[in-house]
Amino acid sequence: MAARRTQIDRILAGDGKAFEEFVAQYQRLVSHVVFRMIDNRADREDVCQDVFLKIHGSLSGFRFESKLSTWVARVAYNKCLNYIEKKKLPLFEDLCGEDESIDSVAGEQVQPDALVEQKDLSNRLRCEIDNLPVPFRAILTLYHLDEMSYREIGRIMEMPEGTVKSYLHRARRLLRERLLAKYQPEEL
Amino acid sequence: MKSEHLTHEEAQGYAENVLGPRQESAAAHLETCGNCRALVRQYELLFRGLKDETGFELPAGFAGSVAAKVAPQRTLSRYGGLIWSLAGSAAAVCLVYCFIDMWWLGELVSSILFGAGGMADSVASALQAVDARLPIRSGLLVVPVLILLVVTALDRIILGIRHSKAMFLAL
Repeated sequence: MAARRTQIDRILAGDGKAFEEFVAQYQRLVSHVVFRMIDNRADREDVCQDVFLKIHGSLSGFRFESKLSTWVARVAYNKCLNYIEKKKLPLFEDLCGEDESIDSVAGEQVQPDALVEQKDLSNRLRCEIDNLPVPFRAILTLYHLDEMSYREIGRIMEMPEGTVKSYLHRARRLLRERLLAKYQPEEL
Repeated sequence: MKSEHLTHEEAQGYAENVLGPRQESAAAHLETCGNCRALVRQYELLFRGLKDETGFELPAGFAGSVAAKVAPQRTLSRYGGLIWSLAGSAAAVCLVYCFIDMWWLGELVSSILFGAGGMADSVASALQAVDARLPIRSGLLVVPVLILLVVTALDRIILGIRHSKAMFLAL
């Protein structure tokens, strides 16, 4: 904690090297959120950069009330939401309605050309995750890749822990159904 | 022992080993149920894939390029621009004070248009009035410039102090 404070003090004091270290430290987390939420590859790097510029501008407002990683992820998440809103992109484009069963949407959006290129589970997964609603993607990434708790994800996405948990279960179930609709279990 | 099949939520929880007290009864059920075993296996595979995902790499030198964009230029603006706002407001007030009380301009115009002593007299008397006031007002024009100069100088001084502090902390 003390080291973290010193690092932030150095950044606020205008130490460029300290900020470079900070970016190197958190670029993985930020890229996870941004790459997952932004579909346009050409814009991803710019958005990542905007996230860090925003962080630099508002670092003096960080009060150490939460983990720094949670705060960083929250800035990245909000930046992505702004991007999505600005581009008028749907947030829940593909989310099942309350009355619609998950199984009924499994198998939608099959893209034959893309299937040819899917060589392994990682590629197949990425393709399917990209077709999920944006909040589902964010939760999957923060939980599995960044190993954040429901509570931390809730703080980042400003939603109750119960909702995070429910979205996570639904996202994983949806993902499983869609993968099985395209591949045999032994192919996975 | 749990006799009924696992729900998707339970299968996910079992695969993550977070079912708590239900983990054991679920394990007992899995020993006898191939369908549930397959379900858990699929989720285990899925979670492994999610954890090992790649393809999020930013280009080498990204951190350096971002850091270069935030090289410090102004320090007072770090405080929410409050000091700059105050300086700008003070300068604006001075400017308004310089120009708002321009009754002499109206006097000049009205005396030219309606003056009884002829245009030349009217212009002369109006200019006298302007002369009497302008030196004081134009002197005030210097004030906003001075305010902004002082704030800029302070900014540079604080920047210097901050740089020294940053170098000290880096040691």
